[in-house]
Amino acid sequence: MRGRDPDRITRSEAPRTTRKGALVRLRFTRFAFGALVTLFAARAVAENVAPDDATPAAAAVTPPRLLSSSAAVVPEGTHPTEPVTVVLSLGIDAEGQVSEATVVTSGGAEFDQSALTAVKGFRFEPARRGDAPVAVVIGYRYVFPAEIAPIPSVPPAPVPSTESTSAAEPMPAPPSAKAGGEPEEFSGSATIEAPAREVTRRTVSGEMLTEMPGTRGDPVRAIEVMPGVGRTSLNNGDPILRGASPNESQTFLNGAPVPFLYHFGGLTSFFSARYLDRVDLYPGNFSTRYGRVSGGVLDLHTKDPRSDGFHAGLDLSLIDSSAFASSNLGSQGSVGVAARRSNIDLVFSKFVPKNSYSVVAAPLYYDYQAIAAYHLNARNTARVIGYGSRDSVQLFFADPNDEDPSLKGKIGGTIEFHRVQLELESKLGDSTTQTTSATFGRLLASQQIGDLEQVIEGNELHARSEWRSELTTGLSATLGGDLFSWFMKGRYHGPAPGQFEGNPSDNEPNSTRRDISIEDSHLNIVRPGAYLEFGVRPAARVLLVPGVRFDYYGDLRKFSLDPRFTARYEVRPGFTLKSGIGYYTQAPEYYQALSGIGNPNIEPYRALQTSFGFDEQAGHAFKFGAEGFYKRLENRIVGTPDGVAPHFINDGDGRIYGAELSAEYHGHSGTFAYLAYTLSRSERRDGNAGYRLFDHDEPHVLSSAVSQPLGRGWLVGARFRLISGDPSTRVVGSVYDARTGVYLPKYGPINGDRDPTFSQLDVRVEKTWHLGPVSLAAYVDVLNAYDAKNPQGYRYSFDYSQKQPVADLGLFPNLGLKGEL
Amino acid sequence: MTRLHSLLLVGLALLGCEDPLQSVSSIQGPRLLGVRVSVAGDAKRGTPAPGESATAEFLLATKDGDPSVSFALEACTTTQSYSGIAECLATPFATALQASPIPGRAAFPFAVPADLGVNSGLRGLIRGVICANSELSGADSAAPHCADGQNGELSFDFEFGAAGSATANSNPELVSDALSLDGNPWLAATAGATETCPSSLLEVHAGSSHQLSVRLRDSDFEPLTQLSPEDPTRETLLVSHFSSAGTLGHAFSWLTAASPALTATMPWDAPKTVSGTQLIHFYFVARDSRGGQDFAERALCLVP
Repeated sequence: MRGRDPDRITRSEAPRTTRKGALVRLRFTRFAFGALVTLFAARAVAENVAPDDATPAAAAVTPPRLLSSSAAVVPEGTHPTEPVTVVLSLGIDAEGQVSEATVVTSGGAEFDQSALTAVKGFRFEPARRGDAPVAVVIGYRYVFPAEIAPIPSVPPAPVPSTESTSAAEPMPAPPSAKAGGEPEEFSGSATIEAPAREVTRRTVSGEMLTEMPGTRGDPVRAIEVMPGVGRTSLNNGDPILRGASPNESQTFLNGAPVPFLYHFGGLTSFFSARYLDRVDLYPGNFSTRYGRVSGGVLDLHTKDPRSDGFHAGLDLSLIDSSAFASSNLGSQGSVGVAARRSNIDLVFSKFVPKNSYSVVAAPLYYDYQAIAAYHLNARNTARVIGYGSRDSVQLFFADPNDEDPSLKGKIGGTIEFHRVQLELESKLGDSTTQTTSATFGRLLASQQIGDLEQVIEGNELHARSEWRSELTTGLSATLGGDLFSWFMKGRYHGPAPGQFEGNPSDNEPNSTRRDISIEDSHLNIVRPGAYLEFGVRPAARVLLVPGVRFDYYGDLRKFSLDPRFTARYEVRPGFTLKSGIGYYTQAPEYYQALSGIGNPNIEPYRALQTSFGFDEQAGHAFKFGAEGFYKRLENRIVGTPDGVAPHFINDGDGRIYGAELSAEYHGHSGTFAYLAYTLSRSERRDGNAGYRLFDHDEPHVLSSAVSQPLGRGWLVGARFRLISGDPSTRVVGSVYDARTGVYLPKYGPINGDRDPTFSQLDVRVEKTWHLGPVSLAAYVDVLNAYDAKNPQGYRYSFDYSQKQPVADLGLFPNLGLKGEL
Repeated sequence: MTRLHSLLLVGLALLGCEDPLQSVSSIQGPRLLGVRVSVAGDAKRGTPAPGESATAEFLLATKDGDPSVSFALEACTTTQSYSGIAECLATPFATALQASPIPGRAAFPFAVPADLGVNSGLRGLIRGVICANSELSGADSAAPHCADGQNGELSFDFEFGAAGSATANSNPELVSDALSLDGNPWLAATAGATETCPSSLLEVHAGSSHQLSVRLRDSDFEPLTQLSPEDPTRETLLVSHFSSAGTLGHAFSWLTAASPALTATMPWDAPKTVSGTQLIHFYFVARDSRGGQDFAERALCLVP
C-alpha cells in the first residue's frame, strides 16, 4: 500500500537506484503544448531543421523520456525532520543529455548540491517534434523526506506549469532560453524515498519490468534473477522463496492477496506490465503488514495511468496479444485500460493428432485491467482498480488414457477471478497518513477429469486499513488491520487430497485411489488480522523496527501472535548492516480443515525466521549485498499414513538455511546488469521420520542478466541461469494392482535422487522506431537459446520398467511487434 | 488446477509423437493381466464370506501363450486405503507356494476363516509373486521373486460378502460369443500355443486393419447403492485389451448399461510384415472396480 510503504509516494515509470538507502523516483507531468508555446514562445531547436522552417504549432512535441537516473542521497549528517524540497531547471539537449542544471527553488546548499550531482547522471530519450529530436527544458522537483517521517501519501502539489489552466504561476523562464530558439518546457517531480525498514526487499521496476531477457516482458518473472528465488517446475510459475513451498508464500496486488499468479503454462502472469509500477520481493523476514504465510511475499504495486493525454498501444506476439489505452481524467486524474488474450487456441486444433481427443474448447487465457486515479484534493487520492483473469480448456477423450484409465471423457477446467479494488490515500495532518482499500471479487475454479470433479466458486472480500504517524523525533508508528475472507460453495469428487509436498504417491494413477465426495454450500473463511510496528532511532545511524502481528482464523477458531524485529545500522554512508528475527504463521489450506477430507481441528503452523547481512551502495551505479538466513518450521501440517482420518495433522517440521550474494548495476544509458548466487538447503521432516530434502531444494542457484541499449533504438539482453536440479524420488519397482488393472510404483527414499543441473540462456533483441508520436518495436525473446534439455523428472511406462526424461521448454523464439501512441 | 495443466501439457505434447515407452496393450513379455475370485459352489460370486472357500485364478499372458507358472501367494485382510499398495492387517489366513513352474492356469484356493470378524471397511487381499516360465527364487524369504527378473509382484483386494448381502458382488462374464472380429464371431482357439497356426483360427493378412469387439450383457452391470443422487445406479465396467503383435488403438474401454449394444470396439492393425505365418494372442479382461473380473483369450493367424 502506498501510504504505508516507506519507499514510495508516487507511482512513476522511472527506474530506481539506491544510495544510503534513499531512492529517487521521477514523475513526468505532461502539459498542453498550446499553453507552453503561449507562455515561453518556444521553438524547436533541431539538428536538421532550420529555425525558419520550424512550425512548432504544426508538429506535436513528444516530451523526453527518462532512460536512466542516478540516486540523489540525503546529505550526510543531515537528518531532516520535515520534507526538504529542491526545484531544478534542467536543459535536455537533442542527444538526451542533461546540458545544464540550475536551482530554481533552494532546499539548502547541501540538498541543492545533492540534487545537482544526481541529475548530471540522468540520461533521456530526447524530446521530439515529429521525428526530429529537440532540446527542451524541464522542471524537476526533488522532495527529500524526513528520515523516519511517513512519506506523504498524496503526490505533491503540481509544479506550476504553463499547461495548467489554473491560476498557478508559470515556471520562471530558464536561464538558457534564447530568443528565437527557446526550447520546449515540461515539468516533472522526483521524490526521494525514505530509508528501508525491512531486512531485505528486492525490487523490480523500470525497464527491468519489461526488458528482462527470458521473461517475455512479464514483470513477475523478472524476480527469477534475484537471490533467494528458486526455479519453478514446468508449468508451475509460483515462486519458490528461500526454500519455502509455493503455498507458503503469497503474492499481493496493492496489499490484496492474489489467488492465482500465472496463467496456465506458467509463462504469463495475470497483470499487465503496463500498469505495474514495481514488484517488491521479500524473500523472508517481511513486515508485520503481511501475514498468514510463513515463507516470502511478492507485492505488486500498480501505477496510475499517464495523465498527459491519450495513449494507446498494441503488442502482438506468438503467445499472446495485448492492448492498452489511457488518458487524463480532467486535470486531476487519469484512467487506463488494458487487456490480453492468448493466441494458443488459434492454432491448437491444427496440432491435435487424429483419433486422440476432441477439442471442445481449446486452451485460452485472457486478463484485463482498468485503473482510474483521481486526486480529490491536496490530501486525498482515490483509486478504482478493476482486474480479472480467466483460463479455460476443455477436451474430450472418447477412449480412456492408456496410462490411467480413469482419465476419460471430459477433461478440462476453468479458473477465473474478477475483482474491483477501491483505494483511498489520505494525509491526516502533517505527520500522519492513512490508506484504506477494499477488494471485492468473484472467484471460480473448476476442474474435471472424467468422473473426478472439483468446483469452488463464490465471492471474496479483502480489506486493509493502515495509519502511519511520526509520533516524535526518532519514533514512528504504523497501525493497521487487514481482512481475508471467502464466501464460497464447492463440491469435490475424487481421490482424497493428501500431503502435496514430499508425497510421490500423490501423482499415482487416480484409478488406484479411493474416491471421496463432499459438497459444501457454506465454505466461509473469515480471517482478520491486525498489526503494530514502530520505527525507533536511538541513534542517527541505527533503525530498530519492532512489531507484532495478530491473526484470527475464523474457520478454525484459532489465533496467532507473531512478534517480529528488524534492525539496520548504517556503518558508513552506503554500507548498512541489517538483521531480522520473527515468527511467521502459516494458515492451513482451506481443504485441510474441511470436515470429510481434512481435519477441522488442524492448527496453523509457523516459521521462525532469522537473517543477517549487509548492503553496499558503491557509487551511483553499483550495489552489492550478502545475507545469511535460517528458518525453522514448527508444527508443520502433514498427511496421515495412508490418508486415513483425520487426514492431516500438525506433526511435521522443517529447517532451511543458506546464504545469498547479489550484485547490481544500473548504468546511465539504460544498461542494467544483475548477478546473484544462492547457496541453501531446505529440509522437511514428516512425523517421526528423519529429515529429507524439500521437493524444491536447490542448493546452488546462479542467475545473471544484462540489458544494454546499443543506440539507434536497438536493445539487446541476455539472461543465464545455472541451478541445481530438483530432488526426485526413485521408482525401484512396481506392483500390479489386479483390481484396477494398473501398476503402482514402489519408491526409494523420498527425494533421495536429484534431477540433472538446469541451465538456460535467454536472449532478447529489440529494435524501436519512432515515427512522430508513434513508437514501433519489433522484438524476439529467445527462451533457452541453446536448447538445453533440462530434464525435470521422468515419465514412466505402464509398469515402471522403462522411463523417459521429461524435458523442460526447449528453444522457443517468441516474436512480437508492439506499437504505442 | 496446476496438476491438471501439467498432465495436459505433458500428455498432449506426446500425442502425435512416437512414444518410446512400451504400450500397455502390447504383450512383449510375461505379464499378469487379471485375477478372478470365484466362491466355491457359487462361481459367479466374487465375494466369499467368512467360512466359505474360494479360488483365485490368474490370467498370465506371454507372447507365445499358455505359460507355465510358479508363485508365492498369500491371502489376508486389509482395509481400503486412500492410496498406495495395500498391506495385510494380520497374519495371512492362506498361503500357496509353487517354486518350480507347472503348466496350466495358476489357481490359488483359499478358505476365509469362519471366525473372521468382517466389519465395514474390512476387505480381502491376495498378494505375492507370480512368474511365467520361470523359477521362483527366494521362496522361503520375505522377498520371493522371479528368477529371470520379470516383475511378478501383484496385489488384489476384494470384498467379503455372502450371497444376497449388501457387499456381495458378482463377476462380469465374457461368454463364448462375447468377442467378434470385424463383426464376425471370434471363438476361442482350440489348440495350444504352437509355432504354426491351427486351421481353426481366423486368418488376417499382414498390414490389414480390423475392428475387435467385446460385448457384455445387461446382467453384468449390477445395481449399486446410491449414497447421493449423483452416484451411478449401476456398475461401470472397464474392459482391458491386449495383443502380442500388431497395434491396438487403445488399451481400455469403459462400458455402462447405457453404452450402445453394451459393446466396446477397438481398432487393431496387424503387423506390416510376416515371415511365413504367425500366431497372435489376444487377451481381454472385464472389471467392475469392486474386484469382480472375467477374462478371455483369443488368437489369430497372421498370414502374408
